[in-house]
Amino acid sequence: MKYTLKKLATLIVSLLITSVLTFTAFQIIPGDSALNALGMDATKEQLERYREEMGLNKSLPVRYINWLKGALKGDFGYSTQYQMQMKVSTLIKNRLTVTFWLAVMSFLLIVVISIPLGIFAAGKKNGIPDSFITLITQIFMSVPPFFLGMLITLIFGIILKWFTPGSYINPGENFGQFLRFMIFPAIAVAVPKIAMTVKFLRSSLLREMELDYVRTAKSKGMTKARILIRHILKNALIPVITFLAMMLADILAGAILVEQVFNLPGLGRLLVSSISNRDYAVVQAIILYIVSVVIIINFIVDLIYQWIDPRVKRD
Amino acid sequence: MKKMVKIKGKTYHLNYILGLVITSLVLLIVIIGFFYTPYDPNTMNAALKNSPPSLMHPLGTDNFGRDILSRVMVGAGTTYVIAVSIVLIGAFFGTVVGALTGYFGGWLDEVIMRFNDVLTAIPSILLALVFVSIFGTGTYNIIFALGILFVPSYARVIRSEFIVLRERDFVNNAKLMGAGSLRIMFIHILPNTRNVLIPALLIGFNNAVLAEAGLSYLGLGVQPPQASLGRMLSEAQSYLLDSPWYALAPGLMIILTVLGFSLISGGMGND
Repeated sequence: MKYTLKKLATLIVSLLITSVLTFTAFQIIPGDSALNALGMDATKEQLERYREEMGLNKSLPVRYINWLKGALKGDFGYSTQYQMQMKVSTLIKNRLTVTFWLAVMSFLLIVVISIPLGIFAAGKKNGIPDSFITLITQIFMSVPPFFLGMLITLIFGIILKWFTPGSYINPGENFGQFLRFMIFPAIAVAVPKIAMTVKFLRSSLLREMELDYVRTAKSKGMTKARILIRHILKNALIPVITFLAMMLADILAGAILVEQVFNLPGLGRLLVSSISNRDYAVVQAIILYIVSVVIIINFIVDLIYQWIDPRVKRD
Repeated sequence: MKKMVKIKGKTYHLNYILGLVITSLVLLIVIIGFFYTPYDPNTMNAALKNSPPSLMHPLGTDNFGRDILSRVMVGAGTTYVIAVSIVLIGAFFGTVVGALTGYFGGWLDEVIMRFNDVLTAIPSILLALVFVSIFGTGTYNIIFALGILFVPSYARVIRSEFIVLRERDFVNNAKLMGAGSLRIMFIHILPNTRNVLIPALLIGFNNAVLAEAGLSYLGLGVQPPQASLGRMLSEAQSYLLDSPWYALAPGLMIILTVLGFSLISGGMGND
């Protein structure tokens, strides 16, 4: 209980630090945001009124509190990059589905593929298949996800014609078709991470295999496969869980880039177009959103972790 | 992998040798690119738009008829210079911060490390995007932004080394002989961190290459007409259907660069 409370306190502090940093970072941008929003030919009265409406003439801490209050209610003000004025929250809500499914599918691919591969590689330690897997993982770890996305478009889209590049389908229209299309960007995000996870799981398993309890199990006459699955795997998977949780930040980062390759209307594309158009309200909201998600998931993983392995609580 | 190679009585990992070979090849291309390219990398030629690889243009030409081989040579150079600058900035300030906090400890150490924890939870490309959106795009801005972002990782590595090493006998001896703190930190302790620092530099270089490529790919890093590997990939994207060779050349160059360094750093350690 004490452990949970301590973690909860850290969570809240981290979220607060994140919000302060996200807010203040955008205050050092040179230029007048009222002038930016209304254009060069706005009159003095118009500028004054805009500042009044947006609360720009208040002091920094007051503006931060107002912004945070809005953020907690999901209100981040208005976006400026489109002709039609749109609420930042609506904009984000529309784009969220794509990034969410991209991240979930990539994560599932990573778990489903890398765990058996890692076990297989460790089981055949120093054999030909192990060396082969090790070399392949090194190569795939070196491929930037967006280049992999281009290769996938080239091979599966243009040469093999398994999908039509650019034929993204809205999840609301046809969810099955949407998932079918999303498989390809998900592979692009997942492959480098699969390589990393296999490498990590393999060395985690090999470390476990050296321990005394494995020798005991062996001398009891258990088969190698049974020791690996019943005993070693359970212990070796614990660090892998943290590793996968830390990977989440990378998955989201990969998604930002890969959305660009496959032309997916997700948060990453919105972020990049908001940066190019100096639409700071949107940039702030997306950054706060993604970072909070990462921090909260890390918190949940910490809790799960101490539940699986009570030894962590002691340090 | 236990594949070892013996050279002049010393044994090396096969991976290490492979990494050295790949890296030397890439470096050779980059160095030649600084002095000589087969064509001017920015000269456009409307008659040669999107032509496939040929004897005249071994890697083909791009949508403006520019020679891709020349652009890859120069672009890899740009990427290299950016990545090296980023790592130098990050490693220099990271070492100073890590050495001070690790050697002295105390509340400052505590504060900086908590701050570090928050920073590492955030995807670095996201932080880089924040920097770029505040300070603007361009080569110098991404060097500055990514350089700062690399400070925490080096600070952490150096700090944990310093915490262990500051208790060692040679440090106490130096203290007894009247050496000042700065002298102990940077002349006595720092050289002993090389086993950790050198792989960290190599991995940092790879991360810098990938980050530069990512930012330039998004159009937020190196600006046209300057060539960098990421910039070339973003231009190649639209011509994937008609001229796939355009994307392959810079993409493979990134892979080789990163693969070379990661094989070297993997082969150096006890992996």
